[in-house]
Amino acid sequence: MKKDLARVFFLCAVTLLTTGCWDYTEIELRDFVVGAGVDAVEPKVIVITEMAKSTGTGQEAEFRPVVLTTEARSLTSGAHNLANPSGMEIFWAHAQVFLVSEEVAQGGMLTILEPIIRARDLRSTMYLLVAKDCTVEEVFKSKPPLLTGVSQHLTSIIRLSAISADFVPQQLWQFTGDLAAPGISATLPAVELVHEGGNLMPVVRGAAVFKLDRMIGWLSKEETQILALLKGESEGGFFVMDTEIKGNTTAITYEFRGSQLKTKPIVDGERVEMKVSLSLQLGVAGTRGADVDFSDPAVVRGVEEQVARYFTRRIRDFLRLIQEDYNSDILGFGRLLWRREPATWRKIESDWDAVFRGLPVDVEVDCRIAFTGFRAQPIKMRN
Amino acid sequence: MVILIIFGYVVVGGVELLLWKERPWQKVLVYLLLLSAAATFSVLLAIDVRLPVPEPLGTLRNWLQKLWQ
Amino acid sequence: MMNESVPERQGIALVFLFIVGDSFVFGLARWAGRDLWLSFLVAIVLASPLILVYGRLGSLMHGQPFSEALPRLLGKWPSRLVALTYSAYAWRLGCFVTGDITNFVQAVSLPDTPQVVMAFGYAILVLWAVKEGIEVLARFSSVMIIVVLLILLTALGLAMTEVNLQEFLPIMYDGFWPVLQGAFQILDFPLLETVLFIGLANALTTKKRSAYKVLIPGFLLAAFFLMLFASASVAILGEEAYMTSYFPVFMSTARIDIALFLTRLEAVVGVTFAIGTFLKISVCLLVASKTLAHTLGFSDYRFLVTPLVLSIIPGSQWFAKSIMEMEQSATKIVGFTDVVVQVALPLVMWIVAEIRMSKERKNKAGKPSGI
Repeated sequence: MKKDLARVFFLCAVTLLTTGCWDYTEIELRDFVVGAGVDAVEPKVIVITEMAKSTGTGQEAEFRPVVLTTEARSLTSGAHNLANPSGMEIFWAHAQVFLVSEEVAQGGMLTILEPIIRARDLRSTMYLLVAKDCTVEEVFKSKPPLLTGVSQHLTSIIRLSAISADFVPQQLWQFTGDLAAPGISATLPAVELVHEGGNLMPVVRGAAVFKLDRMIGWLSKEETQILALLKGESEGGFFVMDTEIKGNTTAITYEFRGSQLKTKPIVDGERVEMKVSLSLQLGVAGTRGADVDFSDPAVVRGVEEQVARYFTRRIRDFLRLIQEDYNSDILGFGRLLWRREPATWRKIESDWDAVFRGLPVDVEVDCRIAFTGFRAQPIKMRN
Repeated sequence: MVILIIFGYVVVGGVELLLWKERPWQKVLVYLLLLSAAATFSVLLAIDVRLPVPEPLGTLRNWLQKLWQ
Repeated sequence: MMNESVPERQGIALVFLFIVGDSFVFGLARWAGRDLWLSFLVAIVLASPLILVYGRLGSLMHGQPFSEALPRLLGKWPSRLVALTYSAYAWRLGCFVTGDITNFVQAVSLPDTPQVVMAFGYAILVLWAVKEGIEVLARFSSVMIIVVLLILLTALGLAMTEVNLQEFLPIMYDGFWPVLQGAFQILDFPLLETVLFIGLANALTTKKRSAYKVLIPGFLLAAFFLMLFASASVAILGEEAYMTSYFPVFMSTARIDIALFLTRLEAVVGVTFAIGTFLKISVCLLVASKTLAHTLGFSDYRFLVTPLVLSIIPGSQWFAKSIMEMEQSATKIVGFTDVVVQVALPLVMWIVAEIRMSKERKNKAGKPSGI
């Protein structure tokens, strides 16, 4: 009996003490940050946040985006200052996107990222983006046409990356991983504002190229397609190419159906070379009504050869751009060398920038038309 | 805080001693000694968190380090 | 109390949870970075002989309780000195583990809750468990091992989509030294902490079965499980994040995102950590109480439990005063105290015991009574 009483006492004490009441907050007093960004670091850090303000209860609950801007000496203090204008406790764990302005990216990402990766409540799966030709505040104050809130809009665009090859999404951990690993430079997707029906709305396309943690330039939407292919992260998307068939030039729309990438370092004594072989599976999405018969193997072979040549050229141009103009190893050739040929890497590591500038890359593209929709031939019109 | 801690230990000690079926004096003595040691330890730590940690094997280690060099 | 006995399976579960319990959330062998799987292999090879020594010591006790077996093996006063050392070590380890869980909870989910409060909650539970004794703890672990394995293996399975095996390359770019450092670190914590089971050997040994049968499978299972988990974490997070974060496994499970639906599984990992630490603290204090009782010349340990358990509340704040110190204590390469208690003392005990036993056997050779 006495023992039972003691047990009851124990259990009561445990239930009272293990609830963590010190950290208890009413959900009504919390505001959820869904996206955030930084517009400037010097002289003060300008922090912009988009929060989801809930109105109504139960079935009628709705979220309305509210954009707040604060200035502070550091990102963390700025984030905490937000509690004051919003009058709520700020809950960060739901933040899905983080934007930085071009100026901040050029000044170095480390000042911004360091407090983020240290923070307990920010997730490493947050998407990072760079605002191009606009400020972060403008992006957050723009009006996405369908979804409520810019953060939600950007997140759903990014999640569609499988059907668009215009950008390469980067989560926080991917970016910091690229900063930390040897022989690779990071990229981030870009956000631009476009006019649409009198409103500005944000779109994600292109990429920002980094060297260490500083941004050094942009890649256009087309160059980013190649980046996605060469990073092995291209899953979908369309492109239009002028194709010559039986003497006529037609603009055919192709669809990426799949791609296999093999990058191999070839070391021959002192000489280092990269071999990139890309094999593409394409679908034909439209020929603009031109009379192209894909049931003819010769036609298909001709098209495949042209596409392969076209991509070889685009890849060569892209490589020249990143090797000579930017001199930034965003494809991770160095890392590949480090992993596959550690002995060679040890010798050239300290000199990698110069080696990379002149690194011979052998490009080989193989293309196959795998799919032409529901039919091989266009509409046969009666004369 | 200190008073609260001591009070807590007294309550726990009292209740537990009550629950014992028999109380041989050796056990009671050891129990009380240990409990008061624990209470002292708690109080000391409550007063100053930076209470130094003793290293009973420290001298042995230093001697071995000397031998090593 | 005299005839404490734990079935084999429960014993293995106990050893497994004791080793895995609070260690898997830390950056084990982080010195080795991407080569940590090699560190684990080296550590397993290095640890096995010592585990055999622990098992042999257990067998030499013939299932007698600590307080009877140890004086027979070592003599009266040396045995009390050894018991005191182990008592202090076990208590200290209990304090460290309590500090681990309170720091972890504070860092991960309850930043404003004082650590003492959590330590108090744990202490009450541990108090209860230790008073119930090893049999209850073993039954508890035989049930909980299912929960823990189910959660952790599910998390691991779901995280497989994030695994990038390229992260393990190149192998040993920085030479063998970091691998060795990593190996020593996992020997120190948690593999050789199994030394505490010498104090519980009477329950693990029966007339038919020696302590090896429990210690070796439990140890090997735990070590390979930890290797799998740590390697998966490296392959998910990359070497740099693994080496620089306090709780890499927690971070790697945070990356699981199954179709936007199944996310934030790290909270579940926290639950297994809580279960594992509870068991480990209980075992530590059970050993601490038993060995202290022997030191003081009592055969019953239960009356010593309350003061010892209550003192781990301040103790948890004493040894590691911040999360940095806690992390240091968990991932240091070699701790002097640990080497003495985990390696030197068991070896000396073993040699002394073997010599005394062989003498005893010789003396008894002509007589019909046999052990």
